[in-house]
Amino acid sequence: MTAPAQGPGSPSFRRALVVVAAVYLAGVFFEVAAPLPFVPRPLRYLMQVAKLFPHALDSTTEYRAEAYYCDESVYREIDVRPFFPIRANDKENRFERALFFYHHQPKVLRALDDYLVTSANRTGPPVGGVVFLSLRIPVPPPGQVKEPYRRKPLVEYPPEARKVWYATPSALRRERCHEQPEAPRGPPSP
Amino acid sequence: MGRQAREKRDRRARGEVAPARPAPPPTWTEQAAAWLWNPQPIARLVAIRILVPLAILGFMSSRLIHADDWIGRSGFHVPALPGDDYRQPLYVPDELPPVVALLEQEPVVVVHAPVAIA
Repeated sequence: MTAPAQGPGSPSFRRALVVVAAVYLAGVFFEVAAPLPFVPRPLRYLMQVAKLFPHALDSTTEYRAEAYYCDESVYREIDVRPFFPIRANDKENRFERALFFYHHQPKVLRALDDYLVTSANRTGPPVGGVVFLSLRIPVPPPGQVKEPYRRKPLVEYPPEARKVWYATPSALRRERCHEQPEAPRGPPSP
Repeated sequence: MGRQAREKRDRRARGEVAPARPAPPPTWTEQAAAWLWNPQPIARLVAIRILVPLAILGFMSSRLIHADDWIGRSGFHVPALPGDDYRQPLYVPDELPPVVALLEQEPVVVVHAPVAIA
């Protein structure tokens, strides 16, 4: 028979832990029912764990990128996984997460643009700009067999499955590629 | 006189002590309180102290091998967002504390000085 373990701290400390746990659970409840604005943001972040997925989705969303290759002056899909090595092959990688949370946030999209162009230029042919887009891939109805996941190239998806969220401004793209700026368009000739 | 009364009288005559009554079974509230508050075997605590850090290490291993990308300067980090944005409860700037900076895998450049041969 081994000796009994003592609980953490004194009995009053353990009662205080129970109070802390009760406050936390109340915070989780109120974060869904009626968010409390006076709770500090780092604490609120830890309490946002309930009612995360209230609705079923009829499609999955993947985020992809196209790069503008300066040498060929074309946009082509770029595999971003080497530049986001943590959990590169699933949707938990930082590229997917960044676009999932911030696809409406220009500041983040611009930072992602800078990072991706810099990283791609370090390892491959010169790239001047990027396009970030999402793919909506329908989920088959219940009971229907779904083929195992395979990362298909972007060209295998129909245009209606794509939605563009960001494209590098053309002036910045030309600057990165050292291209001549477009001549200003004059009035149409008669 | 009933049977129990006769037995009691006989025990008293022999000078014996009455047998102790069996304790009633604990109620569910007593069981719950015992589960929460009674001392637990120390071996259980030892096992938790060994297994929990190993589980955390296993969970974080895919990030630890890319520490420079995760918390260093080589990976992508969301910039500071203005206002009260629920997606960024706390912004940690690029300037890392020295302990964390040790994890960065900066390339080491070795410069060989020319050696004069006499």
